Amino acid sequence: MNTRHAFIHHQFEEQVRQTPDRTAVVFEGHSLTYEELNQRANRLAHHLCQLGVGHDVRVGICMERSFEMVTAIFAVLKAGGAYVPLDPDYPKDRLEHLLTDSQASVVLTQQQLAQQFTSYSGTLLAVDEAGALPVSSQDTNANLDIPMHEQHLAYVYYTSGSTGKPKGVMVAHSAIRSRLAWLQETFQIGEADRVLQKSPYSFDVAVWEFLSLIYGACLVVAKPKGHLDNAYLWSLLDREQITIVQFVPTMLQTFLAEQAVELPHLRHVIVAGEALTASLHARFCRMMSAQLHNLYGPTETTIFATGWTSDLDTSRNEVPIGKALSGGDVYILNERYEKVAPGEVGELYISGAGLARGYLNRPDLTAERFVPDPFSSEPGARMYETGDLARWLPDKSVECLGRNDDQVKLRGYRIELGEISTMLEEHPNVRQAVVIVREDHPGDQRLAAYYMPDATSAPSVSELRAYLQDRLPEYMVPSYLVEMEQFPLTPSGKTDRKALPSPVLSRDMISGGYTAPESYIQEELCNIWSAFFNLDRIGIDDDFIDLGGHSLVATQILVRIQQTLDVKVSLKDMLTKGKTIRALAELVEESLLADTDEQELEQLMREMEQMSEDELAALMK
Amino acid sequence: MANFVLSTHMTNGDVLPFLRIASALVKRGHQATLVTHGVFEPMAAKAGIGFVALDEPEEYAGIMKDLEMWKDPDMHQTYENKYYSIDKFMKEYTILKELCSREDSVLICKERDSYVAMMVSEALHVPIVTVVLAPSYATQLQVWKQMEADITAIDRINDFRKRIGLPPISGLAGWMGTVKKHIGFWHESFDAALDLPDWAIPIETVGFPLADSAEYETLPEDLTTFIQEREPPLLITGGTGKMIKPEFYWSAIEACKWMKRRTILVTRHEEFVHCELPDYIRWYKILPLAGVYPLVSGVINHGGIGTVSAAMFAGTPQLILGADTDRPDNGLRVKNMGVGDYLPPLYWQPQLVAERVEGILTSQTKARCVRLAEQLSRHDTMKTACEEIETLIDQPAYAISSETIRADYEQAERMRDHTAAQVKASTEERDEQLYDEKRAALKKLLLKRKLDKGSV
Repeated sequence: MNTRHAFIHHQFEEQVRQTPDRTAVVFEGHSLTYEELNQRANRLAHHLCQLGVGHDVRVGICMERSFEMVTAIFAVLKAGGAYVPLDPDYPKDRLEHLLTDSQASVVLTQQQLAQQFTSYSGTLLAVDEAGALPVSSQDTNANLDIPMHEQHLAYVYYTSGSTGKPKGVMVAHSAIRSRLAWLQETFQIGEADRVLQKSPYSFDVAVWEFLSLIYGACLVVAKPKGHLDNAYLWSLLDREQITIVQFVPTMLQTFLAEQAVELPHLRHVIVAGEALTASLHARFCRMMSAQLHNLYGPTETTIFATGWTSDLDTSRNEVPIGKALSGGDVYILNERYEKVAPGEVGELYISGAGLARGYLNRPDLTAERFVPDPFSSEPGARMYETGDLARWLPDKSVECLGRNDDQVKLRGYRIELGEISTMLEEHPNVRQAVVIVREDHPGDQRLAAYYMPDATSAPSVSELRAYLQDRLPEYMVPSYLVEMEQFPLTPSGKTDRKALPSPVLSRDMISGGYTAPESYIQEELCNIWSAFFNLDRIGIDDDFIDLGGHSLVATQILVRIQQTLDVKVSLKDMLTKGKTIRALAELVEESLLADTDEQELEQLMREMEQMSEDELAALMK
Repeated sequence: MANFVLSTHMTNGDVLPFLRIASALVKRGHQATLVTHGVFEPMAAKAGIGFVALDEPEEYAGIMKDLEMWKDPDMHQTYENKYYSIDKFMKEYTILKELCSREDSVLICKERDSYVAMMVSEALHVPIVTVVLAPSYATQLQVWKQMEADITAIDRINDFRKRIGLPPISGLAGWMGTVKKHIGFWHESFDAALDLPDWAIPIETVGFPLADSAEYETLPEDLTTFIQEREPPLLITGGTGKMIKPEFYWSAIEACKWMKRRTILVTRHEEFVHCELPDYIRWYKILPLAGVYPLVSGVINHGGIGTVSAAMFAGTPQLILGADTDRPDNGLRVKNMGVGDYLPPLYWQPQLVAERVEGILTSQTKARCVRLAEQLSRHDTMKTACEEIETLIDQPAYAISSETIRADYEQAERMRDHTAAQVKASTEERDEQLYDEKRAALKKLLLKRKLDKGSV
């Protein structure tokens, strides 16, 4: 198929023809119209063609969020090439691997990031540099006419790989077209929409944010690193009247924890990237009026593969990932590739038009993970083995139950634990390493690496941490590095991961009494303190200094208390009168009451008097 | 050659580094005079540096004992009355002023508590550099900002400043911020072991101020015999000060008893030795520790930076039982560097301490200690420190400026008015609509109180 509308950049050009003067992109108080964006992209695309970019040629894009980033993505597509996002925050080693593996012949970047590519041998183009692009003319501003096939690549996204190296997922135009068609059926994105571009562009869920431009939406681009600043996001959503926004659940959780304002323009909130918990779902439904969509899909299935729109039921215990998107299918299979009965747990497989072409330079891995689809009548049809466990719910939607292998999702990032342990084992003085996810404080999942050093020259924890920081993105650097003389083993001789010692000190190791928190405020304070001390359970009578506290930790704790409870306790009071949770809770309570005037207190009392016994009991939980 | 005047107070750990800088400066041809407690005079004489005593040697034990007043908030005022008096300030001011009369004088003082040296710098336009003794102190200014309202010393300082014709200061943090040069007495590997927040004061690290050869004294003969008769013993030392939890000695001694390991115990305070010691534990009130560290298998210490760095220099593994001040931070750094371990007080139980001691005596830890010691021995701290300090000679721009202090004071006054108005406005606004979280917390609290009173 080679009709013009099969391709996203052509759809974008069609939108430009219809609404040339409408605002396409807003960034930090400046904007570009559709016509302006298209002309910029065309100029860059013409230049890329001259540099030899064409079908399936990979072009690296290493940029901060900016107009240039949006321009670059469309320019690469217009030139017929495939873009490869290179996060500027990646360590040099990782960037070098991505460049080598993708064989990117051109890298588009910005001046401030160009020094990261000193050893790159291809063409490096800092697009914000004066004279980098051809001058504006009728020829260079005009759309290009590159013949395309729908199986040509649109992009290559790199994901964590168990071999220790990330692997490139090749996505063709046909797959994206299928996904965007579903997106449009569901969200009816139009010229009235303002979509926030805040997902890191090295994360494939960001793809649809950029491509909402093909439906006439206005793309509001958050400032670099702005996606981590909740106060900024609240204000941006409000000020820019955003109608569609996407979050990773962890980020949504912290976002909702900030002070909320009404966002009357917000229509849809999409969560993707990791599991949406029932409690977060309920919290969202209570706080926000926008529609919530839980979308699921590995990069290999092109952005999303299943979707579920919230039913606003705050009592539900599980949040489904929904049903297959149009043009695709999902199967839950047992080890013999047989479909499991409703309610039974099996492995999730995805088939249909949205599947990626495979892994770049890895036909072996492609064959291993993209297997023949025995349920399809289409010759040569494949299905992708997600590695996730799942089951069918009675309403025929799918519930995802987590990973089936060594791959984990942590704070929205997909991580192959093997990649970290392989990296550690590449250190000349590490013999063997194992990486696991621990949850020593409930709800707080962290990576822990255990390593056996070389007997003669053992590296220290800080040396190894620095070594990993130079080679892995920050989210893959374990919170704990634990030196071991030998690993515990299972009877069959494998490393017994469950028997690896906790890097957190255990309460059970000490004979002193533990008193659990008794009130809401004590619980909150225990949560706050636990972030600072390496102990699994903090008792309300534990002394701050005995736990390892000092004045700097105290100031940080007081800042957290002010953020969480809007209460200010002085440092002197904490260090003299509030050295246990029990005593500090009293200070917090006094301060809470002192900050509240009589009238407000009376109003609260009146509200409480009108509560039923059930409501009062619920309040005390 | 220039005239250096060094001012410091308190424990061995606070004074010895200054003694070593002074000695290094003298060796480079400068004149250097240390102004501190009289008890340090013999050491200064041995190091060949100038010395002026602030007090009599026999007063020192009392000064150390009085430090305990900081443990009790009710005693803070008493402490300040005694040590922040106009008379004490005046005595030190007169000494330092006279020593700084030469044009090419440079003041070197300990960060945060050399009030008088700072005033001399300002009054006489003498360049000043502060010496920061441990990384965690780089964040103390921020802590002080929060404590400021509670420190009454400001009024006393301003009284004294008025007397010598200097403008008032707005607060300690702002005042300390007027010093333009800080050097940090720790090694870059120690610096890299734990990140400091972005707002920590900028410090040039110069290395650990390791013991000068003059400080190595001959060890008592019975100690040498004890060390040599069997495998190397452990060493327990909690520093010279008394600002230490008594449980430190209790748990360390009991742990050594648990392991039945030969041990040298050093403390001058009898009350810390809680029991009759078995014959494999030898107690000394004072020892020239610099010479002992290389001979022992491991050191159980309190995490004071002087002890920590001396053990590192000797290539000896250490277990830090650290509490409060810079000690937990030092402990975590040692742990991260793999040259020892750290336990907070909650875990100071004999069996646990014993387990951790066994943990630091592995060949891997020892190998790391030896590697670090080699690295430290190749670094010339005093040369680096002297070069940094010498950049201040004839540079009056490094003196504390009264103009800056005046401007800071005026701005603080304006901020105080502004903040008061803002607090009033925001309180009014907040009262109109309390945050949801706070409402929930308040409701729970009120309900709990009602339940406790049995009225619901």
